[in-house]
Amino acid sequence: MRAVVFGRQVASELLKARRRSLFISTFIAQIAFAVFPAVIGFWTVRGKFAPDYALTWVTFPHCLWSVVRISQYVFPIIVGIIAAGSMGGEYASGTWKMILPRVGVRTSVLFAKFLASMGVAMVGLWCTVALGVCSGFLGATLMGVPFLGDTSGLWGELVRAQAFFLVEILFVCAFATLMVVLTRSFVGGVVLGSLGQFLLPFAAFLPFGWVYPGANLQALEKILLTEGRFKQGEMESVLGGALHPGRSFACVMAFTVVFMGVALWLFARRDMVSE
Amino acid sequence: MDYAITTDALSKSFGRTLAVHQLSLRVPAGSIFGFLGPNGAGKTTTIRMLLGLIRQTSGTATVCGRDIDQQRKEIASLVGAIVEVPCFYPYLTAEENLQAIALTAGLKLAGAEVSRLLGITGLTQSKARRVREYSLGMKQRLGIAAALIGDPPVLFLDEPTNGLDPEGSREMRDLLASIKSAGRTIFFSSHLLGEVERICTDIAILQSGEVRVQGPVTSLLSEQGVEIRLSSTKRAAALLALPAPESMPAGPGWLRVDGTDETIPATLRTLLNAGIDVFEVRAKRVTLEALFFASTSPGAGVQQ
Repeated sequence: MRAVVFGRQVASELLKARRRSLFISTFIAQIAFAVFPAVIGFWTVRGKFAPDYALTWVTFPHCLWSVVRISQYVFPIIVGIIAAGSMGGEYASGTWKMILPRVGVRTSVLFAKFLASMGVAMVGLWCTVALGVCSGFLGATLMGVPFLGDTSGLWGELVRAQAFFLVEILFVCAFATLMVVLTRSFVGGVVLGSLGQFLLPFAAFLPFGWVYPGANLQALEKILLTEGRFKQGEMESVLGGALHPGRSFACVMAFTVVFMGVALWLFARRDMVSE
Repeated sequence: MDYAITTDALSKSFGRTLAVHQLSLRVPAGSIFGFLGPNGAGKTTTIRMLLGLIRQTSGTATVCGRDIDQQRKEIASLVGAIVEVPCFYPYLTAEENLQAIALTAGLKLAGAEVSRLLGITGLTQSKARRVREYSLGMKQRLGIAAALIGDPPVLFLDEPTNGLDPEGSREMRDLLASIKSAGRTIFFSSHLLGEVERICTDIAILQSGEVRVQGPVTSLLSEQGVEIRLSSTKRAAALLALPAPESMPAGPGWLRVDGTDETIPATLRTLLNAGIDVFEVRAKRVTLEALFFASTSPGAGVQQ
């Protein structure tokens, strides 16, 4: 029975997300990165890019990883906005007071929003990747080069990439949820959630900075993502030692659980005075 | 008597501010209970406590016999509510809003049920419009529809006529009368006294977080005695040794006469025997407005 109720709460979030302009905008912002391979192919034909460089964008699977790498610069922020929007939107529109009296367990609603945000972010990522591949095909066709490159080991790389994005989305959603619950506002959640992602990596240089989950998330990106943004030497310098997937994973997951646990605890206990 | 809602010494403080103080209420099951008070009296705070949106500082309360602390989960399926202004997802239609609210509550609304709720509240024609295009009155009605999801036995309506024009208020009054099916209790908070007097069967008046008056409207607004419409108020007043009719504000042609069921027939016989025509006799009533101001004035006592 509890699972049925929870499933319906997730369905409610997806119903709202489908029509919400905020989510549609973030989705468009995200998939905008997918057009890069076709654009690069188009301008390469007109002599604006070197063909060798263009091949790393238009051939498969390079187009896939290039789109993933470039979208990674904004993807965590977009995930933060999605999660903050899902929860903060209820504070902003005052709808908590409409729905919470009908809900037996408050934390169940918050967790449903967390799960739905993850789902929306993941679908956005898949769409970006799929469009990126189509865009690469278009670019290769424009350039008149073969689209398909060396695909050996691709499935393994895809599974590792999927695992990394799952961990990243989990962490960012938990962080944004905590920020929204702390500030009781959508704007507060977005601002603190985004600023935190930019500023907190500097904590890696403080004593015990290696514990910071952001640095460990970046280490995981280096380990799991083909053509990630980071260099191994820089990551090892930040973490003060060799990259260790198990340790980084444990660190990120521990912080995710703590952030989400505190958010759920606060949400269950706090008075809804003006919401 | 069965009570749908009870509170015992319920109190709530925000820092040093005492919003609700030792509130003890008894809301009869099946009643339309008017919860009155000036702004800041603690009406919304009380409703928020009963709905579990905020926790009480001390005291206990029950809704449908369930403790608001220990049995919150069960209470959630027994109540529907509008707290202050009804808020919706503006980018969704009325139908989608009802579906979203129902799903969040763990309920699945069939299309026929959505149509029924929108039909009751007169929103069938506007069901496909996004709520951002709705007027306040339409949002209030949609709020009632949302509160009726799952057919709960207790409705909390916090100032549902606030901001409505006279036509909207009348429609809301008719709507409340139509949804007061057998056994359903409506806890109706307002500071519009005329609305409450017309709709409610029981009332409580709150001032500075404390209950000043509580009871059935009929007994609180009735007094010992009658008002009589007759052919000559001056002659009648002189005959009954009453003060001048002008000093008794019952309206032109009316005379207020104190008395009981035993003495009033004799009074009427006296008037008729003296050749004064009696056209109408009604129970003497105080207005809710008079009761409200008497009970919320400084130094007013508690009346149960």
